[in-house]
Amino acid sequence: MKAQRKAPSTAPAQSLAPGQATPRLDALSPLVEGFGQAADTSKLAADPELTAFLRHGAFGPLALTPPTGIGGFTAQYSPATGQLLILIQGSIDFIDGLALAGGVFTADHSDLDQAAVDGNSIVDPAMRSLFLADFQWGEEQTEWVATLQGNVESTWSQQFSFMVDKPGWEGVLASVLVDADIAQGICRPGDHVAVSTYKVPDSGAYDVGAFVGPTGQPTGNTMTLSSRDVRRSEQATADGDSLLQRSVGPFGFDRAALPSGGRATLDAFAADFIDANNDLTNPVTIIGRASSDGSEQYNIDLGQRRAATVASSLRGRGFSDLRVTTSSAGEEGASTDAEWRRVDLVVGDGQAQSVGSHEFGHMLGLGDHYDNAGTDSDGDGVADRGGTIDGTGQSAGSLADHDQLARDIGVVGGAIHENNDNIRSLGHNVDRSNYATVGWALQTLTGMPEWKVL
Amino acid sequence: MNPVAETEGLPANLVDEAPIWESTTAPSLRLGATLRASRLYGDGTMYTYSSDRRVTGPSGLPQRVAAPPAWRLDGRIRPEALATIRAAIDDDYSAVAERTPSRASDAVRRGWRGLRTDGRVHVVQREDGAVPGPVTAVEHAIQRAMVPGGVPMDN
Repeated sequence: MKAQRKAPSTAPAQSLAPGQATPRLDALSPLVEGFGQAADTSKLAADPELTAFLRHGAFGPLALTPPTGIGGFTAQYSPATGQLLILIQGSIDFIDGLALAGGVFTADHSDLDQAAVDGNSIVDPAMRSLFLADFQWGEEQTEWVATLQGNVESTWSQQFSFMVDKPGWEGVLASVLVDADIAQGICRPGDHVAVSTYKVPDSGAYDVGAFVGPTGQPTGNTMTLSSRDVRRSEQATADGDSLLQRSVGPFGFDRAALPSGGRATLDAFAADFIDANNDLTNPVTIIGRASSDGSEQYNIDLGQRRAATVASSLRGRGFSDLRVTTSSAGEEGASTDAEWRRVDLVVGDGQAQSVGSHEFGHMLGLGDHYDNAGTDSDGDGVADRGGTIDGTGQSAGSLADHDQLARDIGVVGGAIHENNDNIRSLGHNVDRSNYATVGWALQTLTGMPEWKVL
Repeated sequence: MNPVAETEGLPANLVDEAPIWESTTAPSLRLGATLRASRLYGDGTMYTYSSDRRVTGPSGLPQRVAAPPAWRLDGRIRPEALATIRAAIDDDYSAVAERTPSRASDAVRRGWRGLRTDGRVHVVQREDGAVPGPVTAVEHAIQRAMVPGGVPMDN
């Protein structure tokens, strides 16, 4: 069932008169000098409304929560510079995942109870200390915050611009700059979010689920992250964490027939990566591989035959040829190990997600896009279909929380749930629908619904 | 969030026994594709239901490896601590509101069931990652009562 849309919640930024820039936003100005585009002033005399708009000065800052009822931020738009500045201000608290006192481990978050239980199975005191070390913050907090802010700002800034869809206003543009201003341990008036970050092992053996606890107001929201959530996508992929990559194998020696277990892997893959609206936003690249036995050319051919087998199987599971590309890596990087006798399936660009950037998308008011395999739309106690992805998403093809807002800024297809490489789904790419709430902020600030994303 | 109906892995004498405490986490992208639950029984045993099991890793530390979903004995508590745990359930925990999801689209992500000394079960559930303080207090009481090495790492 679709969530009921709530009325927009707006509140002036604290301690500021409307139209007056915050010190923080002012401080950004030198950084964005020349960024964006000033309007074409030659039309000023011809259009009094345009003249008034351009002479208005800054719109905002205004503290906002989009109609999705999620998140909160402060926005300001300057017609003079063509810049929409989005500030997400917050505090961050670093929390050790486990504590060891009186000879027993305790967990500060329910998700780490298992770690506490497992730690308490260790008898050797030295080993207990070693186990504990992976759950304790060291001196890395400052770098961690800088990385989080850098990830969030690079993910969400300058991806797309906006224009006013109104005759004579073609020169009026808005480019988007997102500023994540996160202070360690200091709560400030007007903070949009308080972040709690738990230290967990880098290995991912134990983790804390990331989430945003919305208040429905611009301020006072909460966010939970783990220490792994600032890892850049390349690192996560190297560690095998990408949900967008699967493998079928090992194939038999010098064989291209689907190996045992391959059918189940492909069934799960097909269930996870349905193209819900046939828009080809989740293309699949199939890469055949071979061990280093045999000649290079032979192994290129063998890899191609293996890729063709998997492509054929996917075709039988409803994957259009338009979605699937096959190639062979032959014996590239391979040893004689059986693990190289495989086919890799990569959805989109295959890069894993920087979870912190995903969660800050919630602060911008965006819901999730991914497909929840456990969704039971008709309430019959049976999930709509199979699949391995689970969480707070909704059934594939259903409308995302910000679907209407995406349409309002001119995204024809809106926003739906589907597993793909989008930042709101399982990957890290930002598309136009992800600027739905940013566009809504621009429309709200200026009182003009004509803003459309370019 | 309903109690876990699955009994695979539980000893026969516990199959029909109500646990003193049950904590349940729904499947998620981050925490695994299978529901995870843990239970504390009146005999002081702690069982975990999950699709992994604990083994001794190469470094000598515990690690989790994939395994068929089942209940597994993971820990024991000092029997004399049961009274403290039950008091935590009877008092502050029982005052926590059950709360159902605020939006129809929200799924329950976490749930806890505490058996009060009067025989009633108090259920608390949340659609997000927020853990009420009294829940943490019960879980800390359980963890502080654990016997180090009470269950071998490979079990």
